[in-house]
Amino acid sequence: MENVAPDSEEILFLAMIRRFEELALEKYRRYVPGLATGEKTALVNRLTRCAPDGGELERSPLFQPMEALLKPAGAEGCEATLIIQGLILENFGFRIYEAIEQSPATRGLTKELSQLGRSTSQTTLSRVPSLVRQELGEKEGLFDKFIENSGEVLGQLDPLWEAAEKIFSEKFQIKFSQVLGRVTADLIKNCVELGINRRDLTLYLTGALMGL
Amino acid sequence: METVGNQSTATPSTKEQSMAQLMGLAVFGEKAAAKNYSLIAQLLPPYASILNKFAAMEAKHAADFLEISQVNHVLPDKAFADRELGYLIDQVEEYFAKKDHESLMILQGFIVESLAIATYEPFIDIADEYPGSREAVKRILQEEFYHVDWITRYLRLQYFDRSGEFISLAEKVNRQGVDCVGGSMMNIADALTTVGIPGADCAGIMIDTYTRLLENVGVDQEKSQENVLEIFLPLIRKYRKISGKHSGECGS
Repeated sequence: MENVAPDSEEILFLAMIRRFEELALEKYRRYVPGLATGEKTALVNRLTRCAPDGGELERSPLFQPMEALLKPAGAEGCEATLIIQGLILENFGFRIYEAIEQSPATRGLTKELSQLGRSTSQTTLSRVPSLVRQELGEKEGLFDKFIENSGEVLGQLDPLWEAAEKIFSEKFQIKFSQVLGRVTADLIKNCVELGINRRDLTLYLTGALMGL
Repeated sequence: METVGNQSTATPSTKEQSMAQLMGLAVFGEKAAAKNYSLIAQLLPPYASILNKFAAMEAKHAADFLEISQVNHVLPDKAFADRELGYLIDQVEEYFAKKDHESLMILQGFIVESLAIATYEPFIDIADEYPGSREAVKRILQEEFYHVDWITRYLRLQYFDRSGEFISLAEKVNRQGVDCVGGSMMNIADALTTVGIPGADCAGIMIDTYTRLLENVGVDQEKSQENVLEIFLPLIRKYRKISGKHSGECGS
């Protein structure tokens, strides 16, 4: 692996994913042990060792929208954890890691941690559907629970996304609307596989993202 | 006042103003649709007969909406409609000048029709508040599906074993077309909500309808969803920012 010190954008990216991954692991350990895998633990340990602890993040425009998202993302309970962390934020994580990993500007530690993050999210995502079925059920009942738990998080995603876009898109040459389109398409696909009606879900997601 | 995709306009504050904007877009949008189908007919002589029939049906829809407006004492807001439709008309003229009938078909037959379907379908739920509208809007909606069905069959056949080329064409038309027509959708979202039709539901129906139309021509579901969402998401962001509907924002 190329030994290059992370630059200012990479430091912010690593500090940001550290916060999200630490929260995800904490929630998984407490409420969904099946997702607190060795791989996830190894990723968080690696991020805790290597990624900055947040001073830079606190001084950046990412901080406020990130805190606004982390608050509802930390909701308690198995139901909230499976929906917010397992279904929504893991999908985001997977596509963000993928985009950063594939960027020609990504080097050294950032590349290594993005690869690790992507593969860890992929493992987590592969386990989520069976756990959701087992704990929360399927179809309309699941959709009601999805609506109950996801609104606040969905409403805070785009403000963070917008702040991230301003900081990262030039450096990593990422078109964020494309990544967000992929994330939303993945989320729809995963939910439809769990029996949620696609049209109802699209209407709900549109409203949630519009802030209505 | 800023707007999402097109020219600036005032946000309607009353049910009457909202209805005037919606009927303005319906009457003058249907007139534009009639012209669009007749332009496609000129570019596609073997199918001119059916396409001119569609044009006549769209012209009748415009007359129907005008009649509904008159019965309900609504004066369709032409200035609003002109501002919303200006960008669409420019695109139509550009495609017509290039004799690009397939781009025109996607723009009119899929994107504009998706906006129409997304607003007429939920309107039926509140139609009883507007005497004379229920049966007319139900028929108009059925006829829009009929147009969309023909356009789908035509494009599916043309691109039967060339779905990759269709994706490229759709992506090209989407860039301007969804930005413009989807922008109009966002600009009428509040007016729709004011008259009792959730604007977010209409936007969602438009996204879902258009995504499915691309799939029906042969585009893979995930690809078509990504493509449509990628263009709608910036419009949704603009809507949220303009409307101050960002939770945590002052005055939200």
